[in-house]
Amino acid sequence: MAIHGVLHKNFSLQCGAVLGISAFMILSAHVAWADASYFDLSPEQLLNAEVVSASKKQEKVAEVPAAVYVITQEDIARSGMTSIPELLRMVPGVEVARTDSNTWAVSIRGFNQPLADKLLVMIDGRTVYNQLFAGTFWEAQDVPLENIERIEVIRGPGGALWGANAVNGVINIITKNASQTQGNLVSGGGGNYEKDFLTARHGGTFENGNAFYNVYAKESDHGTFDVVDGAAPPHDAWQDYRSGFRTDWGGDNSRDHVSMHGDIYHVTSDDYNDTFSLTPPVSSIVPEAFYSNGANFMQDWRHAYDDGSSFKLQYYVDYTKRVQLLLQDRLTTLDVDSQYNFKQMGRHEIIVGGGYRVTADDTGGSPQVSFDPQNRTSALFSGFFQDKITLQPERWFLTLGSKLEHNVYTGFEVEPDARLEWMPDTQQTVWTSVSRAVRTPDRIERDLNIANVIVGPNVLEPGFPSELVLTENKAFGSEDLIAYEAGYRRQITNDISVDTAIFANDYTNMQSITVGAPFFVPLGADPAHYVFPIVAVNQLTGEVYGAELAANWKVRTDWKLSAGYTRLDMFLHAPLAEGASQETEEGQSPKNQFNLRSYWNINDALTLDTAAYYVGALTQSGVPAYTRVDANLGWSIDKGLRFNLIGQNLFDAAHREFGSITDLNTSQVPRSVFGKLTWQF
Amino acid sequence: MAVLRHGRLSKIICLSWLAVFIAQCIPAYADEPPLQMEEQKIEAGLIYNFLKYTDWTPAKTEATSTPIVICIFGKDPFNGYLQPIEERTVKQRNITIRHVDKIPETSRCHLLVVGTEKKELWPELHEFLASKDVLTVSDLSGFSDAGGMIQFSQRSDRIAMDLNTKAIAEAHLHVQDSLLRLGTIMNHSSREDQ
Repeated sequence: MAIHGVLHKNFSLQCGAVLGISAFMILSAHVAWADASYFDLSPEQLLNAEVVSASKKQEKVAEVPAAVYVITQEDIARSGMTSIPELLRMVPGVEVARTDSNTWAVSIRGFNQPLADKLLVMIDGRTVYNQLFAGTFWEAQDVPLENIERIEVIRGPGGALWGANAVNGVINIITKNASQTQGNLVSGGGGNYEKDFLTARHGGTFENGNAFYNVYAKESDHGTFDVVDGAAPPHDAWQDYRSGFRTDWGGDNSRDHVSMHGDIYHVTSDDYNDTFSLTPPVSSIVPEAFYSNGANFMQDWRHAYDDGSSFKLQYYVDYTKRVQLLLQDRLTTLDVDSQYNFKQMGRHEIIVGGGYRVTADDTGGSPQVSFDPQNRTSALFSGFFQDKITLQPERWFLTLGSKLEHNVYTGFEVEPDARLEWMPDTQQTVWTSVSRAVRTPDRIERDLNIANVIVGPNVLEPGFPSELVLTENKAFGSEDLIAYEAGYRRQITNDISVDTAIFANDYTNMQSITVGAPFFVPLGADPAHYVFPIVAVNQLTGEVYGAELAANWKVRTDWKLSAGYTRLDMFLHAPLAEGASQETEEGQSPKNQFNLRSYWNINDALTLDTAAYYVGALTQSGVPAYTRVDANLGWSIDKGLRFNLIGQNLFDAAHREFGSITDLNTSQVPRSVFGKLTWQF
Repeated sequence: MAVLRHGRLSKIICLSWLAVFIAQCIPAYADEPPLQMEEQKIEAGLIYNFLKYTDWTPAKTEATSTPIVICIFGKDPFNGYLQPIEERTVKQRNITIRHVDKIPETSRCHLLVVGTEKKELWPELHEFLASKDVLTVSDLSGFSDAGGMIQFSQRSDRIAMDLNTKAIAEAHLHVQDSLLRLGTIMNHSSREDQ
């Protein structure tokens, strides 16, 4: 907390004058638009009005004191992307890279890797961040894109509201209310890499039209990527099969809303395994086709009271199973959450909430990889409080909040958050914040043991094999972040808007890998060999700075441009022995990223959408910078019938995005062309 | 501590405030920001305008003492925002809202709002209303193609109207051109992005 104090002092001294002057300058200079009675408006005014949600606490993105980006249905339809992680490429501050056909590395504001651990991912409020592995298996989150209402990406610590693991950001995938998916939809197609895909959905009503339902089924078959020069041919194809339903009583804005949803899936993925033994052959590469299954069910209830307060209760059960050659796991999560939004009380708008989650896992290992103990049940209690204080109506707001959590590994964690927001007029928002977030340890750090990993010829004593052994660390603690952020949004004209954010993140107690003193194991069950013990510890610290920019420009009524820019600078520090951890983390995120997207309505029937994504080089694994260009030609053949021809990575035969060329499961993203037919009836 | 050692943090945040200060000094473009409203308010406002811009047959509008009747068939899609319309008048006539459950009750309406959950009943209702001068309005997708007169839909973040001028004319209603111009005449194909 010392940092907070010193910062606050600095801030006051240096910025006080600027703040004072600017506040004085704009006072009463801008008149906010008052909500005149809508019956007095002309039809022209009404048809030009922007639609906003009626939900009381659902703030407009333009007024949220945090770095928020929303991927809309239009973005989804027009990007031509086929999966959620691919869609995230358009979001400033987000890093998306594919190591191979079935594995994505996705993170926010640095620290990218497959199973990135500082990013919370949720589907309709159900966490899909795997608590056993501390990360998200993206290939298992293949929600039909036609069912998605929007994807909200919150960069920066979401700790106060969302809890642990929302360290660098939160991605919330929100599916459509069943009332929005009435009728039938069939969409399918195929191409050179996207072999074939098919989604079918049916929506209807029951209870005399007062309730809505939909059911869907989806299948997709994805090919292998391109070979990396000099490496083995890729073994990374994957297939996804899933089905689910959703029912809604009441629309999104009605007084009472109850919904139930559930999904089941089965994903098969190809990959290579490196298996080791101390007797020759020391290493052998074994291809496998592993599978993961999952099922989930959730129910939520929202109620809005007449006095403006509202209440929300939800629970879900989530089951996942992965069966790999070296490691098998089953994980069951039961989660209950509630939230109460008090009515506005004077200057205060208060939200309180609480949650309980229990996770139970059961793992099976191999001599090479195992969890100790093999199964574990753990409970998590959490509560949060937030108060949005109006300092000056329609102008200045201060939001104070904190989450308090109790987990089995590190006990109580407090994640406070303070945000100051200033809206000089209806077209501008300025905000700044200080917050603390933690990433609590997961089983993978506390309980995982990896053995039998041979590191080349023994440097100590040639002639003996050596073994790298990762040993569990029961003392591994939480990683800490204190984040300082600021942002500015402006609707410059009716057609141009910009949204910028800058941040300075101060990390302590981050994970690093330390190597202990090697020791000799004489001939026994195994041949005589040396052991190099390694262990995950909390020794890495560092600062990460960055800036993000998103801009939209409606050039003409039929043409829209969007751009995004991301800058990231990481300065990590580790004890000498753990220098590798520092270099790895710093070198896995690009310094610069840029994207430009164009949506063009050629005429009533044709659309042409193009996008370019530039991603800077990754120093750690020698991935060169690349630019990817996509195009999507859409043709509305008839009412409800639409054809899209999509080309991805058009100007580049293949490129590597993540992982070193020596990594077993690294392959190159190929050029992909596919057609898609969508029929709604 | 580490952040302060770099000495950049306070500078960054201070610079951001400075940037805002400078932005304040640039005169804003005079463009008015778009109005922002809930969908139900926009549609309620449009309903009031439909009453203003539509002429019913003399038979229907005989007695000026009788109010103009808005009927809601099914659930109220306006979340209660239409209710205050009863405090207003149009062409010196009062306005009243009726909730109707049965098809025969709809013949006395001037304007009929068809709830989306009544989709299945629309063909029957449509047949019943044939040549009765009732202006039909709905959020139902495909409404204007199925003989409905005015269909609301949301396109990107605006409310749009599809108008079936043929159905309006067949019902002997007259909707002024100034309103018709603002909608899409349904014979033109309307594209839906999905």
